Amino acid sequence: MSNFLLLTSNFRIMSMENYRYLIIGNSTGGIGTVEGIRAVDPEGPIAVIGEEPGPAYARPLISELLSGEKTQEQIFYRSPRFYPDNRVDLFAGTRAEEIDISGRLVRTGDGKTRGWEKLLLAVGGTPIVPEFEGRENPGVFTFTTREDALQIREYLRKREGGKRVVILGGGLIGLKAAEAFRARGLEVVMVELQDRVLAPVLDPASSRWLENVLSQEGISLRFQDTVARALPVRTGGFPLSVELKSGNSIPADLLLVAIGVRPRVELARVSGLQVDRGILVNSRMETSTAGIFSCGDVASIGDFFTGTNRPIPVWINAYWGGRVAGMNMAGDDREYEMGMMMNSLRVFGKPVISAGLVNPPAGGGVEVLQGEEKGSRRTLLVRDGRLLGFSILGEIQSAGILAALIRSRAEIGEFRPRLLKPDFSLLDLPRGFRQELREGRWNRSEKSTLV
Amino acid sequence: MKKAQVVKKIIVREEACIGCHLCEFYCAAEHHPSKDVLKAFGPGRERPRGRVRVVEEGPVSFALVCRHCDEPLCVFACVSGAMERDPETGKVMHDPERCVGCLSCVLACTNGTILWDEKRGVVAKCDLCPGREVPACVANCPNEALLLTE
Repeated sequence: MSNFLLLTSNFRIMSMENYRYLIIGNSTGGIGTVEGIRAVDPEGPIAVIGEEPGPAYARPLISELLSGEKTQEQIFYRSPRFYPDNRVDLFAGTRAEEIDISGRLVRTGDGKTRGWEKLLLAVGGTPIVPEFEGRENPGVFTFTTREDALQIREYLRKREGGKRVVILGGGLIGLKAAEAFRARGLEVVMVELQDRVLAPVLDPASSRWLENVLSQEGISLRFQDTVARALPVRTGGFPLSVELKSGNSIPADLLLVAIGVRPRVELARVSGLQVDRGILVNSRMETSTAGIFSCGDVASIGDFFTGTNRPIPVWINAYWGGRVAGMNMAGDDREYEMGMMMNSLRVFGKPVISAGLVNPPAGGGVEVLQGEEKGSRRTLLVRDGRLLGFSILGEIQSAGILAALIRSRAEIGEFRPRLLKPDFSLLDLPRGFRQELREGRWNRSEKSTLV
Repeated sequence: MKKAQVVKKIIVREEACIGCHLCEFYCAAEHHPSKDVLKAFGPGRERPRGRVRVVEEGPVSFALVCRHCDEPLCVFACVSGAMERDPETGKVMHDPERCVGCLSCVLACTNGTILWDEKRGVVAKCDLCPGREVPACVANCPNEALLLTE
């Protein structure tokens, strides 16, 4: 604990802003927390500290910003009146630098110190960049913020649009970036360490299906390879020579590193909170210190299937977990019991939705069911007569019912074959079960509801 | 604790459904600029789409229609803020202008009642017919298989 904070705490009453709720992080986790608090406590003062300037924006839409399909104004997450309407003081463009847990203070980069009664950390993750020669080159970018999208656009503008990019990473970020670059007319070479795209999100057959789509869209795919060097070698008008571990070299305008994101646990660790790969929280979204909560990409949450904790950094977990955290900060008693992979996106227009376990976990006993028609395919994982996970490409119409089946741990024995139908709907469930879903009951506890 | 507002809901009575699909027609017409069945389905026109869909198999049929959940998981999953709960009416409303077609709402909807409009790249769902006392589907169901309840 620094002398600065000890000094400041003496002046707490006189000169400092005190908040009942202080939220560090102004993306979907922080906003979910605000809305969870306000569902219980309409008045207690809330402060949100955001490192990025301005109101919260929808991070997944930075690819639309890169492609030019959307403007900055079009990707805000809530209306401009969100903060005043919810009595939230937003301090954007400044970073939380120090947390004094016993004094209940947070100091931000602008030198201000604020007091809190309940604290939440939703500071998200930071892109992983492997150690390779040339990573400091101006043509090397990561892609997780609005600013990244704007800087890439500016860089390409200076290159007169650019001709070719290399993307390191065939995951969600890499794919969306690839789509944006193709929309701008650039050649795209995607380099992935594994033997397929979207390995954490899809089963192998679905990866293959999607790879056909990517190839048709002009994306060149290189598997089981990675970047060794990015040299500022002028070849054929390109400023970069991207050298792969396999020995191949690709002249390019830009190298985008999109191999993953790791939770930003530094502040929490230094402050004394328990951290594994992320900030550890219980099912109430509370950390090892009472009164301090965490949610979103930085948090290590209870895994629905294993019961152990790990970061599961997807949009839905961030917002839904944030709501639970917020309601609990305001005095309610809720639990977040839905921690699992859940993803939905379109890749070159093709819907891709998956949830739960899509690759069989260790331990065996898992049945994999697959169905494929023209333009669509589906994979289901079943164990002990219960749905563990699914992936659907194309006909996604009733994906939410499958997600509900996973969460309810319902026995699907009777209607299992029907789950593979592209036009699967409530009609395919037993009448009693579909009536439960119609009435909003589906084997969940009161504590786990988000309102 | 402040509970979610109660909103009028459409109740589905599958035992009364005769599979006539009139709810689909009247919904499509109501959401057509003309609000007129004959104009909406006139010759040479692109077939209009509603926000309710009838499913049937053998003797069983019923409408799939958004239930404007007290716990609107679609609102909580929406990435762009296009799906919102109207603070005054409690209705769950979708703004196609803000929609980016990410389909997160489809992943969240436990009833599978959100429709994907591939052509326009946005989703569509029941809006409880603003401007009507009774939604078009309920008003035109010949056998009370769709009812309005507060």
